[in-house]
Amino acid sequence: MIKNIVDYLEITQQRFGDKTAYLDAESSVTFTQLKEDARQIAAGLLKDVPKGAPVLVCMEKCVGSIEAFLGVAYTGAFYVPIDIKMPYERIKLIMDTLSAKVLLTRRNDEIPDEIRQTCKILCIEDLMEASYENRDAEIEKRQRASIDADPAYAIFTSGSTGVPKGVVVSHRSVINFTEWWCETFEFDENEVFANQTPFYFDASVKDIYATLRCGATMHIVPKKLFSLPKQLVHFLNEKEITCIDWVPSALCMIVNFHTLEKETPAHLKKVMFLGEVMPTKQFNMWRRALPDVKYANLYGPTEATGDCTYYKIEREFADDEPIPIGYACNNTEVLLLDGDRLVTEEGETGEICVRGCSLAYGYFRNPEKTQEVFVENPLQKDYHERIYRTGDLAKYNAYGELVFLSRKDSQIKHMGHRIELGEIETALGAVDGIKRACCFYDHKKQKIVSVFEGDTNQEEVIAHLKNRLPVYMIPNQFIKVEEMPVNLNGKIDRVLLKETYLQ
Amino acid sequence: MQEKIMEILQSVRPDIDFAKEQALIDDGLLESFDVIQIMTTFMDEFDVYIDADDIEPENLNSFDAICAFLTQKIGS
Repeated sequence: MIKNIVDYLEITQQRFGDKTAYLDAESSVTFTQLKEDARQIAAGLLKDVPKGAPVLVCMEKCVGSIEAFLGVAYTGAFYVPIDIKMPYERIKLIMDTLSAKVLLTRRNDEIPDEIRQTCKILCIEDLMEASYENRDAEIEKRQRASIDADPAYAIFTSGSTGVPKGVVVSHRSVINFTEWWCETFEFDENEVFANQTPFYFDASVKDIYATLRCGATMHIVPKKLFSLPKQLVHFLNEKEITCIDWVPSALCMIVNFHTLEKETPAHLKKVMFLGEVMPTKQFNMWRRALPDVKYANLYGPTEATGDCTYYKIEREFADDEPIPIGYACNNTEVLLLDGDRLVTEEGETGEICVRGCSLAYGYFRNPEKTQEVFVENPLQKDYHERIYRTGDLAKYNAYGELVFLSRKDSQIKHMGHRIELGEIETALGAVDGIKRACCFYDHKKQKIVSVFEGDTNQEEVIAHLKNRLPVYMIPNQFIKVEEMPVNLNGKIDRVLLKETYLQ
Repeated sequence: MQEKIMEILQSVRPDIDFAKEQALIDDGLLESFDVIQIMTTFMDEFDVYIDADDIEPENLNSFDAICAFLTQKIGS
């Protein structure tokens, strides 16, 4: 019985040991080598990392990252992927939240001195070269003690108060999702994935563990290719990619610049999109160019592990018709709630709430935020049951399919990233000279707009934000005002600001 | 025209020093989302046709390269 993600590796290694599992631009690894490397990393961690402890993994996206994730899983600890390009101040916030004792990296990756002083830094190459007494016996001890309810990873998402929130996900949730994902989309050892999403984004969990579960192959696509459509399609052909599961902006770039008219990805059989709304016009361009490919729209927050709804696109859609997010995944139920009332009528708006074993445990050391969104199921009066309130609004269409409408709060999706505007506002508020600031999202132009009042300028504000926020959270436009408009309650009049800007 | 190009670039990514950077694509400074926005605006603003063959590092890695690329596009 599978109770830990490394059980997938153990089983697959026996069936497909010599087969290539993961590849990046510089290296590749077979399932047998992957098992050996992950066990070496685990052995090197055992004395510093107790069962159930967090281990940071901070390195350029590579095959070694996956070896590190699995090495951590062998110890019964859980991994926390960190973007190595993230500003130090944000990494520090995450480290303070976790009180992590160990950070895994590679020799050539640069870790700031400030981080080196706060926890033990271990290089995976050193761990893989070392020799350990009773390595496998010690690992088996940890594995015998592990259960499927143990956390597998924590992924940090934007937090509205300025502090990122660590979503803690169990092995059981990952395994439940992976089983459904592989069965529903008929993955087997012949599948070749092209991974796009960063490893600190939970969508990457899908490619990584489907590969491990099925004995498939996963290529890590060099990031710069996602700005070069011709080279990207050429990569898909060269590597004989059969399945992609990408954010819509990457797919839009390919068709917007007529790439498929010059070269088509001949091996591609499955195209899925996630993370933000796929424009139907661009989807139709894909379908016209590659009519035999199977397409699916996937939806799900990090708190519900991978996806919680899916929609296999089989009927035609007009360019201005939204593509549904469809139906709930296995062992997941989606409740559309208006307050505590279940919405069932076509066209009526409700909040997407999720129940089932895909739910995360909540946010690491953040009971307040956890209690805000992981709440009692209002429809279950007889016993305690948790549901997750996503904050996403949806409706049922005439076919009984779920259709995403919008957010009910100030969370946005920008460049495929989930962002709380409050986190940007908190960072703006910390800039010397800024008295008041607020942000809003221009959905039409897909821009984050910030408005600030104070004695500073755009250059100084950007310089400050670069030290605190990832690049994708830095506003695209800065507007300095003499005085921030306020409403009768003395709060910033966001509606007026946005209306003024849009005019 | 150079001023307009700079204005467009900065409207998409005000955090990048376009006058200085020489490897906007090769260093991964511009993401796919940025490239779409920048190129689409160029097409609208300068009435040029840009397709996948044009979106290569040599045309996009620096401000000078972008200006040269657009000058050639407009002239062709």
